[in-house]
Amino acid sequence: MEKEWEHVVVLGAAGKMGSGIALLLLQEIASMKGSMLTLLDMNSRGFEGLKQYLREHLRRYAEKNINRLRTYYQERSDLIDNGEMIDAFVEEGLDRVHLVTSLKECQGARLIFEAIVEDVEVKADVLRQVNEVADPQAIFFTNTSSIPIHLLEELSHLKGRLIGFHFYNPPAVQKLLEIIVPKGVKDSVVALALEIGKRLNKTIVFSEDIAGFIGNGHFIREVVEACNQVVTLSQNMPLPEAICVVNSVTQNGLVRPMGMFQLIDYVGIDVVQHIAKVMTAYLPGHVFAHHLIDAMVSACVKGGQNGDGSQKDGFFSYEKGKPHLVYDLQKRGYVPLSMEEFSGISWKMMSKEKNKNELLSSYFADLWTKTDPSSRLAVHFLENSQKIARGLVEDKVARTVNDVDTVLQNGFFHLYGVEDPWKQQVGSR
Amino acid sequence: MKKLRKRIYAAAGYNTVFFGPGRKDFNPSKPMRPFEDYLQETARGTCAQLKERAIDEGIIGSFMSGRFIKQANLPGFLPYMVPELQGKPCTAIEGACGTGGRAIAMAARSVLSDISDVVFVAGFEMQNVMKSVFGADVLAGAAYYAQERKSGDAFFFPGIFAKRAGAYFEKYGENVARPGMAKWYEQSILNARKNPKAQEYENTAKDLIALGMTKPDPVKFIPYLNLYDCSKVSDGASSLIIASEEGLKKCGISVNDAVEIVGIGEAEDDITRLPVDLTILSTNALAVAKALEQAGIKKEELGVLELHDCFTITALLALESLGYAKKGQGAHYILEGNTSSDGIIPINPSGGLGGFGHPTGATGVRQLVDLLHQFSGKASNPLKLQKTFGMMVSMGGNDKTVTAIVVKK
Repeated sequence: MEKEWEHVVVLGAAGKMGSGIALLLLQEIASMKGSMLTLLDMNSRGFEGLKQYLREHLRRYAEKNINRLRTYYQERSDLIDNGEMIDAFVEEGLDRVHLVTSLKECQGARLIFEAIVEDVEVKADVLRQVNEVADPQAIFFTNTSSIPIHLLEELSHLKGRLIGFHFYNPPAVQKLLEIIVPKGVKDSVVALALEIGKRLNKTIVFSEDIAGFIGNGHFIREVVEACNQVVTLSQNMPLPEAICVVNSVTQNGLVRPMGMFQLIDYVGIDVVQHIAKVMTAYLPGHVFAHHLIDAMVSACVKGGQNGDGSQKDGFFSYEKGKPHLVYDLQKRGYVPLSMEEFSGISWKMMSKEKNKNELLSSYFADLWTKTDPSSRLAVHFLENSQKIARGLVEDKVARTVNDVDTVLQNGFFHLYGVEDPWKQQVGSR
Repeated sequence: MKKLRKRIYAAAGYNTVFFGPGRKDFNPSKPMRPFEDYLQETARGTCAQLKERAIDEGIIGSFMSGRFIKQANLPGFLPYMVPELQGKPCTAIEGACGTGGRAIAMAARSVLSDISDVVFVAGFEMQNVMKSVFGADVLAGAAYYAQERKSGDAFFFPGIFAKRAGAYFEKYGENVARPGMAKWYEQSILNARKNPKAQEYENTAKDLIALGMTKPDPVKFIPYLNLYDCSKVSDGASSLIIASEEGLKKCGISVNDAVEIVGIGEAEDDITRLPVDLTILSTNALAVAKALEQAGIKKEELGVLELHDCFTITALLALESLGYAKKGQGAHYILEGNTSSDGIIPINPSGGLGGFGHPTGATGVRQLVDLLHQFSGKASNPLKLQKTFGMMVSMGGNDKTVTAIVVKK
């Protein structure tokens, strides 16, 4: 076992992302004799749920990987049955886990994964304190989705030893991992980061150290555009109706799993507001805040998820996971959806198709010819998405449009690359 | 093999649905029908076909109920299923996946020895009570567990037959055998689609051959066999009555609604010994030879077979071991269409284990019920039978516990 894995730490382990990262690491560490996984969280009340979560999912992991386990336990004559091997694996894995509330327990840690609250000062403070007790050669990984890594590096005195590891939700399932390497990090450290990412079975995309990185860089800019379009439309229709229109167009019109406003609800309106704030702070000359988002947060309508994963009310109120009513800022309450749903193509249906490229190609070609306002809006959004992607490459956030596509297709479940819709139209535009 | 000393019959058979992942309403997160339901349903189904329930004895077969549902003392369930069995002789039988065949053979002994005129025979198994990764451990009890489990595959029995497939591929070529196995899979599903009780009845897959040709994944599963080569985990129960001529009369069943059992071939192999030749099912061959000899017929006189195709490779090997195909020609035999419903020897018109499903304790009984239905015009997939003989082969473990039964219309 490599020295790095002797003592691994997850900060914020009881949180949504932290627990997922803990599980990912535990799946590897479970078969590493002598390895210690320290899970730290200030909220010790979260430990019971965390233990249950780890036990249940480590067991499922063992069941899925039973072939590996049988090879691993070949020399153990006391383990014969699948059941016995799975039990042993889970027990041994959990024995390597230590649930703690004190930063002192990070003594001698070699790999530290940070997944605490998205606040620069808090992150910097905690990282600085952990650095005081960790191994001098320890490497730190932060799960920040938008704060520039070099900034955290400076504030926490971790020059050359902090790397951005932006996991997507849920970390144990979502294959996408954005790796952000600030300037001045040794090649050997980058190699280690890449090796760890691969070991955790991730689809890796490197992003430049610019606020928002690729994922939020694209998403937040689309949010701003969606809000702007709603404001424009609301000049000719009630605001709730405008929200429905834009949501519907960006769902079936763009063949996406959720429309922009359902997606904002999913991420959390307050989370979106916060990310926009961070990006505004660290990208001089840009403003990502929008009064529509701010108004919703001020009205205490925040979206997000309940503990059980069910969707909370936000722009929409949900029934069985689908938008049922839409929020009316003026009335401060929910009203029925406007009946006009953009027909387009359902993402659900398209994701099952074997010849997606063909079907999408003809769909977009057809969309391009339509003249009704909603179709034009869909075309505008597609073009805007392209603009954003190209901008991310121009600004050197992403190395190539292909990298942007990898992020969007894995992290946001897009079914096509940003440039795909217009491959047919080159020449006719 | 002496001819049977008197006429014995199988009649009034009933299969429940063989439930499992293939059925549309299968939902592991919802509670499933309990075993009592299956037992009651099959008993009611069989007894409803009797004018008089003149039942003298009961036999119930199950492979691993003691582990799957933690229930033993199964004879106690016979009076529960058939009230007429209250106070009567009841017995439980076990022979791994060949339990059904053994149960029928035991019933036949009681009738032949004049102990009983009518024996109610049932077989059942509940396998969906546990995830297949754990069920595999339970089913491994059909082999010599203490010596074979540790070195065996996670999915033990598929692993056992994968070894046979590997040996066959080595001898005759994987690209010769694989298409035959895929064709067998297709045949199983096509037949199952005509049988509302079959687990694969609702299978709507478009290209069955393509599925059957799926490249085996030794990392995620096992070498040589893919998932389509394997019969699915099932819950199910089957029953019928074994009766003398007198017994049929007492129950008010016409001989036209029954089939006569004219040959019973039983053979056991030492479970601690590994097969001499992995490409031959020698115990199968022996049991079949005995049954045919007792029936006084040659295999060419058989009009329909119910074979124990726990895996597609098993069916292929059985065809060769029983002499239908020359060695190495099993796949070719299947590909020629000989075993389909309009072939020269239709096999498993019910769907067989691959299409109907394989609740281990029930299968042997189910095979006889399906032969009975074919000959009495009750089958959901009726064949145009020109011949009057049929045969079932019930196999337990890796060609260890085998019962072959020849029936006559």
